Order: sequence, then structure tokens, then C-alpha cells
Amino acid sequence: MKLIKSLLALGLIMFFTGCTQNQPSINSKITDPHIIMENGSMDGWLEFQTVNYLTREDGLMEVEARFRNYSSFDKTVAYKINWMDKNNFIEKSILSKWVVVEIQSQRGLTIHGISPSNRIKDFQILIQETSTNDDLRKNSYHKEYTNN
Amino acid sequence: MNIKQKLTLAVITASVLLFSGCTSQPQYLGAPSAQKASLTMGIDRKDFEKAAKLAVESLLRGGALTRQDGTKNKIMMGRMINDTTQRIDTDMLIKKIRIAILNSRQAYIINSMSYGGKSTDSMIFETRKLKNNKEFRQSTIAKTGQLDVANMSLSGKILQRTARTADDKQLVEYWFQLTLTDLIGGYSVWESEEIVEKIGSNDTVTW
Repeated sequence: MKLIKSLLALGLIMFFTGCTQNQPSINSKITDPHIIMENGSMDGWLEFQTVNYLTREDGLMEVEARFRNYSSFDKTVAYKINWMDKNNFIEKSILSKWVVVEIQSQRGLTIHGISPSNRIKDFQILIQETSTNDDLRKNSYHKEYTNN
Repeated sequence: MNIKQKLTLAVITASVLLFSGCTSQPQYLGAPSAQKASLTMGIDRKDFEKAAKLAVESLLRGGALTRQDGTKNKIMMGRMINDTTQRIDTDMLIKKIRIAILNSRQAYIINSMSYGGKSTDSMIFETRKLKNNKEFRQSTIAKTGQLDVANMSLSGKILQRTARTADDKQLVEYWFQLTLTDLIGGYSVWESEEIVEKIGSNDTVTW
């Protein structure tokens, strides 16, 4: 009986160490304040790579952020860009709507955005995991998901 | 009918209801699974929002409204054609684009003239009819030669194509086409085409 228990424990240890060895180590620590991953569980598989932004001659701000799905599964995420004016107020715009995308396993996601006006001085990219039944996001009357 | 027969009938009925429910639900083609379901095979609010958002992004990113001399463009509404089987007020698309253009502060929208020579706000001309009416303070009425003429025109078309797929479903495609024309030079400065595709039961109608 003792031998069976020991073997079982050894098997479990080998099983779980095997699993963890297959997970690539990713640099999920986000140092850029413009990127906000709203679900902590995303740290384990979604890597933030770069964010580039500039203010054009016509005063509009352009932004591009890149991410990579390091998991073995295709994942669905929702993102939104909040555009903020000089007083840090979020400007309501049709350009700040939730977008749901599927990122294939081991593939990248590029988010590209342009500010709705030249009043914009800053931005935030919000990323959330979706559920299979994402009713609240489909319901634009829900306060959090109302954009315009 | 014994209990066993009743039970079999109930299971069959439930299955038919379940599967017919699954097949009649219209879906967006190519959308992530969480966002696949569409309310209707026709064009709904979500479709107009998507088309308008993508068009505005393209317009602002392309820089067609940017002027080097510091002045703003003046855009009038050209012809919008609804070439679908549905009765659509094209303002459901155009209004969102007008709002975004005005918010961008890169252009004015001309209301004194639009497609067909009509003004989009008749009060522009109604107030001018009050000239020489002694009941009104004349200094508050627009003087002659105050109206601006547009230097750009926004026109477009909404198209629909319906087809039957190999597995006997109905595929409906909607094209949202927009063109911004420079009225001085007569050429196009920006064009956009967004497509929405829906698939559903052949029994569903789009109107």
C-alpha cells in the first residue's frame, strides 16, 4: 500500500513537472502604462511586445501595439482604445468601441488605432478575456460597454 | 399511446426544436466564436456601427482631410444609394460619419446644400426670408453672400448580394462604399469599402 502511494505521488509530480516544462517562459510584465490587461490570467499566455505611438502633423495621434499568444490554444480577447484629452478625460467616440478578435496559438496580434481628434493627448489600450457567452459586451446599453 | 411512445415523441419533438433553432440563427462569417451570432440577416445597428467605425478610421488615418494652410475642408452630402432589398435610411450610416468628422475638427459639414440642391436644414433659407420684415432686428439676419460652398462631397452606396451556399444556406453580403470627392479638381481623395457577411437559414428573409 505504501509503495502504491509513493508511486502515485511520484507519478503526479512527474505529470505536473512535465506540464510546466512545456510552458514557455514569457516576459508578461507590462512596463508601459498605456497597456492595461484587465484579467490577471492573461499574464500566463499573452505577451505584450511593443507599443509605438506618435502625434502626426495634423495633430492626430496614431498608435500600434503588438502582442503574442504563447499558449497552445487559440484565444479570444476583446480590446478597446480609450482616447484621453489634456485633462485626462476619456473622449467618447465611435473609434473607442470594443473589438473582439481571435489570436491563434503562437501567433501575434497587432492593434492599430487613430485618435478621433487633435484634442487627444494620451491613450490606454484595455484588453480583456471574453467568455463564450459574452452577452454584456454585445449589449451596448450596458454602461461599461457603451462607447458612443 | 403508452408511456414509452409518449417519451419517444417528446424526445423527437425536443430534438427537432433544438436543431431547427440552431440552424435558423443567422451568423456573421469570419467572426470570432463569441461574436458570431447576428440578430438578423438584414442590416442592423451593429453593422452600421462597424461600417462607420472602419470608414472613419480609414478616413482619418489616410489624411484626406488634412490641409496644410490651416483652414478646414467643407464637406457636403452627396448622393447615397440604397441598392439593397431593405428600406434603409442611409443617415443611419452617414450620421455616425458626420459626427466623427466634426469631432475630428478637420472639416465642416455644409448644411445649406446637399444632393439634389436641397439644404439639410431649411431654416438656413427660412431665416433669410425675414429680410426687410420690420418685426425682426435686421442686424441678426445673415447678409448677402455669407454662405460657403463645399469643396468636398461625400457620396456612397450600400449594396446587397444574396447567394445560396453548397449546404443550402443563405449567404448575404453587404457592401458599404463611400467616396470623398474634391469638388474643385473633380477627383476622388478617399474611398472606402467595408463588407459584412451573414449566413443563415434559407427560410430567413432579409427585409
